[in-house]
Amino acid sequence: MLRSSQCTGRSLFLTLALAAVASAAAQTPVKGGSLTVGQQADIVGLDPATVSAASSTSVIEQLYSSLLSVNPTGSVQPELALKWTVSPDGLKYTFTLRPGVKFADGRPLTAADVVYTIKRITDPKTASPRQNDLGKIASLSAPNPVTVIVQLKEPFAPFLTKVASPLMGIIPAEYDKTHDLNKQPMGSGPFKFGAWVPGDSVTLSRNPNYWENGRPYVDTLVFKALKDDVTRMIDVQSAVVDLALSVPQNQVDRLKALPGMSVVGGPGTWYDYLGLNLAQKPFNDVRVRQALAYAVDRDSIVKTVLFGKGTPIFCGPVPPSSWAYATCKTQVLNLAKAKQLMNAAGYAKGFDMTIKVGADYKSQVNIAQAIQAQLKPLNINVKVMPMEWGAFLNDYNAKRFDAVVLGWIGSVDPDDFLYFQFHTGEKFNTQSFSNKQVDTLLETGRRTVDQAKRGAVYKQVQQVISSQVGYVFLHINDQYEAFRPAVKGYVHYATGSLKSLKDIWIDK
Amino acid sequence: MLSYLARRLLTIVPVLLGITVIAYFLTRTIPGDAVAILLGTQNDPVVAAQLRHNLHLDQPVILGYFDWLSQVLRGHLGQSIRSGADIGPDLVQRFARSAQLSLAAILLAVVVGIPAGIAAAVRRNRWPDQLISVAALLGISTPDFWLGTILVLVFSLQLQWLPPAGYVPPSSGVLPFLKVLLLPALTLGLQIASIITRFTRAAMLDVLTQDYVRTARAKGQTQHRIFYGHALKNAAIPILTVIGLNFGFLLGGTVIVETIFSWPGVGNLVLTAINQRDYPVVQACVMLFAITFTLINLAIDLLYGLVDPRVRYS
Repeated sequence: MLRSSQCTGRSLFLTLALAAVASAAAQTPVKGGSLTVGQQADIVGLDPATVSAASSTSVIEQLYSSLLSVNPTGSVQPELALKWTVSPDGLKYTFTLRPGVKFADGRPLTAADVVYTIKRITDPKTASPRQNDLGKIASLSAPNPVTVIVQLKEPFAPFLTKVASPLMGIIPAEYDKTHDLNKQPMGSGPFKFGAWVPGDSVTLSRNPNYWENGRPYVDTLVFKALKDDVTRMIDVQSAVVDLALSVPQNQVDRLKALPGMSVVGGPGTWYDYLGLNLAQKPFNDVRVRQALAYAVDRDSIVKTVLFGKGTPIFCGPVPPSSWAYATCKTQVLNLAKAKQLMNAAGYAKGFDMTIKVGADYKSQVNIAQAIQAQLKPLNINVKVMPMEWGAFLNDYNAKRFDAVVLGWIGSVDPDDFLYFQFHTGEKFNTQSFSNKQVDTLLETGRRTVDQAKRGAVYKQVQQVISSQVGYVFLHINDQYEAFRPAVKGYVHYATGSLKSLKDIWIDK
Repeated sequence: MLSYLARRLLTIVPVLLGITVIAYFLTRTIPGDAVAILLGTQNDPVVAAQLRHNLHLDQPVILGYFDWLSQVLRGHLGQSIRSGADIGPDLVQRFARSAQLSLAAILLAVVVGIPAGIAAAVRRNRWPDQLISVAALLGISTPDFWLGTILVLVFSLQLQWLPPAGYVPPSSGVLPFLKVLLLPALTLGLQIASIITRFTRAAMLDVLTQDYVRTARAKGQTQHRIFYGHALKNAAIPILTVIGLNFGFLLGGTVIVETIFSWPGVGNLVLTAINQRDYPVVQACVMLFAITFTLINLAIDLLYGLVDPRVRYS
């Protein structure tokens, strides 16, 4: 459930991005003014290596630059690195840095800072949730101030998209020894840190040393913590904030209908699933899992629980915007087949099961209740158990559950959606899924650098995972932002990235 | 009086010590821990173990308690697990904001509640009494989350008179501050005003049946003097008690109202801290609540003596 990383959208977002670019070009951006963003939570600190909260990521994106970044259409693009080369064996990455980049305090950014930052992230002592994200690094070097060479022990195809994460932001070497990065962040992003009033807001100001000419346009950028959905939506309507993030699904159509209010969005990279405990009866029987997958009516869940603001998934979790999207129809509604499978598995009379779910996540509680009703025809007696989040995680991590309804936020790379959840014994494979073919395919996917070949691998592995019911996949959630007419140049990213804030200008 | 005060202050010490034990061990017994919540569903055992070590959560609970206690005794509340920020300055700032809101609410409640209660008692069983009683009943039964939402819908969204939420410090201007203060203060204050109204009415009626009131009447005292000179003074003790209790509750965190109005006070802080198992923050908040509650109780006890000369401190 932690929203962490970056990702993409293809056709719809390309259109939106182009539309935004076109309209921005039609008018000339002006400098100055202030932009206030209302987000769901207060930040929890600003050290890019250690935080994972979405609220912190939004702010970190503005303060730091990474080697690369991901554009709204999902491709990796230059950021601090102007160009990069990958050796034919996929083991050696050479980055050439943009010359003349400075940190917000005026100090020049060199290859040594990049090496320091990556070492810090991969050092186990830092306890970074991303310490293994870059694959197995054999060596790191900075032969000159603008060249960084990363040598891997084995090919790791997701490497570039991982390096492009905003949470791989480059810090000045040794800076963290004398400063607490959570409270005194220092990067080379479009904005520099101003003040943090815990529980209320974070204020940033324009970074005068920012490398991209003319950007950012606004003088100050304020992130306000507005936890309550209703409050956040009222605030954007009454101009307390200019841009409101995470528009609740049930409010999208109402806000769209309001004059002067812009709402943009579409399928995100956050999917929901029903996870079964495969280590215990009856879910260790693949027929029972398949029966459940056939009994769930995804269309009706999207229509009723998500107010139509979602996309049912029938094959695997990689979103339609990705090049690794799989179109198979493995997990579809088929009650007759479900009953047949239950009979074959010896559960014609059904069984009792409990679905545990985080009580704060209202939509997931509603999804669990919808599933409860949908499993009745199979004589499965479902008890829905909404739990306080901490208590839920306690049970979940200890594998004390029959079933859970949970969400997962992926990133740009299909590996993010699959490897750690479905590879045997991996860290987020809490449901205990294990399948040799899946393991081999996932490992192949990591080693295959050619995107077309990788795409084929991931399409195949998703089909196997969904036919073996690694999860009962449900749907991808839409994600929307609402903003006021004066805000120009905003571009929606499927991942919820706020990279476009540096391009925003206020039409006075 | 002074020796009474000293004795009372001394008895607070063991109370607070007891509260440190409860605050520390109870927060640790809540299922789920800070590290699990930090990592969420992306719980990597290796990262979790290192984090637990970095945060000193891997040491025995009892040792942790004494570490914490010795820190607290030296005036250091520690650092938030979640953000790494020092708790002390943050807590002071948030307490000041909660105090602003609570003071406004209690002031409003007193200004509305006491006169309404007196008016009802004086005109017992006539229409003003019935009107006030019904209004007070409504006020008590209206949940603050509902009232808060309705006030925002009417005054912010429809009429656009007041901001729906947020915080502006008084230093940035009295008017902007009053504007953000009004709705949350009303939401909190109206319910307490209703409670005070009912208590005042009941206390006044109780006093008005006493013998000395009859004596005063027999002596030919004016109605005004009977009500305000004799009755109100004697009715003051239960009224003060209820005001003090409610003020303590308010300062102890107006969780729901602070959330609805995004008021960055202690209520907001403690709710987030509990959800995130940010133990040092929860412990600091509990201590703060305990101290304010005991001090308010003490202040109320001292006030008894001022309003009622029969109360003696011995």
